Amino acid sequence: MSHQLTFRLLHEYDAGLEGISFDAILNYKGKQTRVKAKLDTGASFCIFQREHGEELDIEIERGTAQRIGTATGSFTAYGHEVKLIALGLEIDTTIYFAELYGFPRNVLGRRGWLNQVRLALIDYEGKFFLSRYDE
Amino acid sequence: MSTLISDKSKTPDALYALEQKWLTENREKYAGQWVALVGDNLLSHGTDAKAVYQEAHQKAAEFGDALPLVVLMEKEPDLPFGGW
Repeated sequence: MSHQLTFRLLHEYDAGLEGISFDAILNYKGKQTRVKAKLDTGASFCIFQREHGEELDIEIERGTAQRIGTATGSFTAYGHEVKLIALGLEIDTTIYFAELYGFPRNVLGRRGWLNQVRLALIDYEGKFFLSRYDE
Repeated sequence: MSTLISDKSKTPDALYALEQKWLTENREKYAGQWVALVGDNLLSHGTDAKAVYQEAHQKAAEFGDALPLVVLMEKEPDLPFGGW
């Protein structure tokens, strides 16, 4: 039995680089910043560096506190409602900002992004097909 | 050599490709610093993210008010990622 899906967007990335990264715009109350984010299908949440939240004038600790586990320990992050624009899709969602400064990267994970889209990945060719979940 | 991005003719993907290339080529030089880029034009860099953002916004007008990409340069080469 075969299955067929259609997608609105095609994004090509450099499969030779570590990780699948792209730029993402965070918009909060009209203020916005553009950052580099990695796709992480293993991450439960979308997690961004604290400094970007502060640039948007977000009071980080006023968000919903969430302890997040990693392979080597855990850390705290705070959830806030922002508009996330990535790969041609604009989504109102919850982004978690790391409590600590100098957090190494930004990731788009399951809750908040992956559960808002449909995607197909052909990593061998560096192709990423995408639509909103409800399209 | 940098590319002047003032006419907004670059698509977001093309702009990001220039930025990604610049980040790869300059990781060692700016390791541990925040950098603000528009294409392969460096607008600001330093260890204080607030100061980098501030200078980048001031200079963004030279680039058609493009929204700069702001990145913390990793101290080590982009290692294989082990996931969370």
